[in-house]
This record gives sequence, C-alpha cells and structure tokens, in this order.
Amino acid sequence: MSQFLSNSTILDRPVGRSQRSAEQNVSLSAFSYLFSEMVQYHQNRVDSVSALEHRLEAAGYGVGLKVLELLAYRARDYTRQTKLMNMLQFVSTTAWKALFGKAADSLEKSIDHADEFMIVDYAPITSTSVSVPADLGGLSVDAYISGIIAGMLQGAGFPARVTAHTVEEGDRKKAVFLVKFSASVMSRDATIIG
Amino acid sequence: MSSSASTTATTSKTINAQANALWQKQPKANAEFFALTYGALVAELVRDLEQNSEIQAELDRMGHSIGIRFIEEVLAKAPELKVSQQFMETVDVVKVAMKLFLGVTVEIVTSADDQYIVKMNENPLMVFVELPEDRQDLQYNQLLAGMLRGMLEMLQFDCDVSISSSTTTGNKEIYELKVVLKQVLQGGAGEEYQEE
Repeated sequence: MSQFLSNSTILDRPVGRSQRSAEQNVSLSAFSYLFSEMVQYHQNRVDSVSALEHRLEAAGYGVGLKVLELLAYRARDYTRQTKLMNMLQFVSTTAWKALFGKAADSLEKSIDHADEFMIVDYAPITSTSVSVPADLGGLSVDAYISGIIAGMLQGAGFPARVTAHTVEEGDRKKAVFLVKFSASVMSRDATIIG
Repeated sequence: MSSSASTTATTSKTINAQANALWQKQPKANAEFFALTYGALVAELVRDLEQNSEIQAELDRMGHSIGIRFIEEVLAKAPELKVSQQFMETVDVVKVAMKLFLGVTVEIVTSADDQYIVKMNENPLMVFVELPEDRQDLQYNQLLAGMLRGMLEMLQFDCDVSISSSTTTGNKEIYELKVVLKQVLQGGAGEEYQEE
C-alpha cells in the first residue's frame, strides 16, 4: 500500500485552528514519566552534568522552533514580533500558557546587563516531578525548557543564549530562565522605533 | 460494585464512567507539548540508533519502565478495580489506565481466550506525526505497547503487546494494540493487591 495512494496525508488533517484541540490534555503523570525516561536515556550516554544539560537543551530547541510556528499559525492576527520586549512578552505569556497552562510568573530585566532578561517560574513542569540525586548536584532538567525558549527566540529572529537556574527565595525555590541576547539583536532593537 | 459477591467484568459503561471521573481529578499537562516532547525523544533515538528494530526496542523498554511504575498509580487511584488471577479482567484495568494516562477512552475487543485488542480512536502521541518514506515501518507508538506490557507484567501476566494498526500501517484511522497472554507468572499478585 503506497503512501502516494492514501487519501490523506498529515498535511490534509487539520492541525487544529480551534482552541479546543490546543487545550487537549494528557495526564501530568504521562508527561513526567516520559520526561523522566528522556532524561535517563540521555544520562546514560554522557559523562558530565553539563553534557546532559546540553542534550536536554538541544532536544528542547527543536520543540521551540515548532511551538513558535504552531502558535503563530493559530493566533488570529499574528504579526511578527520585531521588538525584543514584545517577543519576550510573547514567550512568557502566550507560549507559556500554551505549553504549561499558565503564564510565567514574571518577566524581569537585569539591572547589571542590558542584554539579559529573566523569565521566572515557581513550578516548572520539568523539575517538579523530578528529584536530582546528590551526585548530580547542579543538574537542572529545566535545561529542556531553556532549549525550548532558545528555539522560539531563534526561530523568531532573536538569537539568544538561555540557561536555567534554580534560585532560592525564602523557603521556596524558583526557576529562573536567563536569556542573554546576542549583540546583533541588541543593536538592531535599538534602531527600531516603537 | 459494593456488593461482596464477586462479579465478572463490570459493564463497559460503568468502567468508562469510573475512568472519566478519575480523569477529572488527574493533574493535567498539555497534550501537544507531550506529543512534541515524545517527538523530540523519537528523533533523538533515530539519530542515535538508526535501525528501526533498535529504535522500537528502546521505545518498548522505556514504555515498559513507565508501565511498571504507572500501574501503581492506577491501582492506588482506583482501589475498587479488581486485581485477579483472571487475564480477561485486566481489561478493566487497561481501560482505566489508558484514560488516566492519555485521557483517551479505549474500546477493548476480546479476540480469543488469551488475547484482546485495545482500540483507540485518537492518539495524542501522533497528532503532528507522519513518518517519512524510508521510515514507514517504524512503530512510532511502541512506547504504548511497552507500557501495557509493563503494567500487565506487574499484574502477573506475561504478555506480548504489539501494535496491530496505526495511521502508518494497517487501518489508517484507528490505533490498535494487540495483547496476547503468554503465561501467568508465578507467585500471583501481591497480598495487598488480591481481592478477598
């Protein structure tokens, strides 16, 4: 049975313009178990924590590119973001809501560095269900989300380096995604009026 | 259901209603994000392993690992599910498990004394997927097969679970997993699981 003879390919099937399909759910357990297997798979193939994080980031990057396209396609009147702040708003609200069910807890600008911004989430889906053993101290599985953010930004024309950090705040922890834009983005943004 | 007389498999409607009620209480994650994450995983396996048979073996192994853990969650959340020595009664457990995991209602059709077919009308894993020409034989959903195998193993049933139909093979509209009992494992289900 040749693929060419089939009546419909994936391009014919609706990708779901409606909100309904975008909001379909699986259980959090399903995601957690899957993600856990993914981390373990990569863990068996690398020697260091940073290599593992790098692999998770790489995995997220591809997802980020696709998420950007999907959201742009779905938005009623998606105009391409050209201003940096607007793009960051898009990532921390629209994209965050689509992926994690709610907007990020905050979007902040670094005081010390003009090219650094932080997206804060108190309970990222990737780390709330994962416990890191002591011998892997420093591992942040949220690197997967860093990769997603980086992929989205790259796809939209805002190349940036994104890293995930766990910060203690009082008696609770928060995940901070540090976004450092490349110089070309910063200089371009300075010239855009608006 | 509260009657102490042992009943054979409860009616399909009751089980579906029960599964739906449990599903409402499950914490959720976005299905598309889940699908994309699975896609990233499979893509990585394709890059690393190249051979379909190896990729499937790895997906099956991962699914198995998930299944042996997820069954605990299912039984904890649905204590009224009968865990018995009867293979056919695993049908109810599978229905509830698939609903609790993927949010999908499945239909199960018995095809012989020792086998049944799990039918899904929708499959969240496949929502964005189409396999390229040179990968048509790859069983993309092998993770689900491994998962069922793992769950059933925990219930003391050693089974072969295979994908008999998906949009890339067989009937292109329905996803089917075929479950065939190989043997009942020694020891039986643990004391805490068995019905009085």
